[in-house]
Amino acid sequence: MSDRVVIDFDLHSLEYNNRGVETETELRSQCPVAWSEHHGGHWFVTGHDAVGAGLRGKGNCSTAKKYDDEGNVTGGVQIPTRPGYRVIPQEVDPPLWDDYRKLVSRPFAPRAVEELKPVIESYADEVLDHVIGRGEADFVMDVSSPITALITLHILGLPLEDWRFYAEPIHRMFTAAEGEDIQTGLAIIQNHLLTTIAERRENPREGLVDDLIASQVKDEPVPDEDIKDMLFNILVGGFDTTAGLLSGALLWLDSHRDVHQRLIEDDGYLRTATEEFLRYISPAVALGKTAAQDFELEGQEIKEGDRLWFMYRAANHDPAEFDDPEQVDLERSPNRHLAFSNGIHRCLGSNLARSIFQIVLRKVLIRMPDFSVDEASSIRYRRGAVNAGYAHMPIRFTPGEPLSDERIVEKI
Amino acid sequence: MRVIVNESQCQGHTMCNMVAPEIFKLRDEDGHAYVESVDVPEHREADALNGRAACPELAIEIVK
Repeated sequence: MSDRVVIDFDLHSLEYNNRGVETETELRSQCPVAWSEHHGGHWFVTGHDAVGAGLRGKGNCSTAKKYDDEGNVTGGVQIPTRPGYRVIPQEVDPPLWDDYRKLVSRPFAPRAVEELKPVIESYADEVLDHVIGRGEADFVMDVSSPITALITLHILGLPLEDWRFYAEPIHRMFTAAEGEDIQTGLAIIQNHLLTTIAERRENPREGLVDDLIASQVKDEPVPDEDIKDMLFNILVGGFDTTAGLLSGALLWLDSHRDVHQRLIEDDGYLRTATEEFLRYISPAVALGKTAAQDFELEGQEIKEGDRLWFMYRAANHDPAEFDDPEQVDLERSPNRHLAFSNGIHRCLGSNLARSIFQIVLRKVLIRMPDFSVDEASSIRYRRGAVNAGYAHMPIRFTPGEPLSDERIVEKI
Repeated sequence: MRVIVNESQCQGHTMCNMVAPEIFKLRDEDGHAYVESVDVPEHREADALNGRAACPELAIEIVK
């Protein structure tokens, strides 16, 4: 019997959901790498060094979904393994991963995101124009969620007016109550994507959808199923994470008003503040891998086939790496956080997330300078093991004027 | 001082470029980092060290 450190940690428990950061602090201080018998048994990694080393080590981890001898699906990035579709390129291993990652990389590279900034600005203004006259809004469902969705659909080349069709079922993945069905909504999205792909083969337009339809992997056209899985990866990857970052930051800024003006005027300060909000909030809380080989991590023997839960938020609050980790220091530097993970699956959308965050935050601070957050009525995700964010965040502000009478999308 | 970006370790976090843009440049196609010259002038040594400290992949090597 190995002498692994075993701790009774259920990552899907309500207890952990309600005390996320506190639980992670307790776990990390016991052991940065430990084993849980829940959900089929898995390692969970909470230390900054350990998360980094585990993900950086070439060949350590696999994310591909596989079928075992009994026909059960194993692997992937969820624990327990989610049945059905795989997200691409996240749930693909090298060498195939290299081809898929290249297919989706271009619109998310820093240069492309820089060129997209006027579009981000205009969608942010549009969404704020819809609510600015009301004096109150749900910051999540009326502001951060639609803005992120519109920008993503723009990149993909999907109709903007469909934003709710995609956003609501994805949002429900994190907000639905115990026992509530979330799979049906996702299946409906998946089917609609397949229909859209088939339709776009006949009638190409402009967007990543069309680029993927025209692409090849190993001299073969990319199958519709794989295109669907790439589109879906981008949809679920960016929607709630970016919205979670904005919501968490707005809540903190509600009670720290002396920094607002400097965030508006000082680009360098906004940049370091972005990294600190990423670290402190860590909207992507954790994801899973499977050991592709035996390796050692902080003295623990990881065996090929073992599932591992890499906990990015826990790593981002590790006092071994960050002085005073529970303090938000908007000038913190260096800030070697792992909010976008580590290793080859580093979040593809990291540059876009930063730009959306910075543009939207500045506009909110400028156009709603006296905003207040009703924290008592704000509702956090009910399923917070994977993503951290808010289902609802009511805010109030002095009503203002829209910047434009023209509308890109009829109804937000 | 010389600075080396280990290309096989770099994953395009862009944090080196954020803290030391004069030294660490980014490729257009994927945001991976590179340096135009491995030699670091004395007045930029602090920047090079900050860039190394910022990298979550430990992909930057400094040789004094």
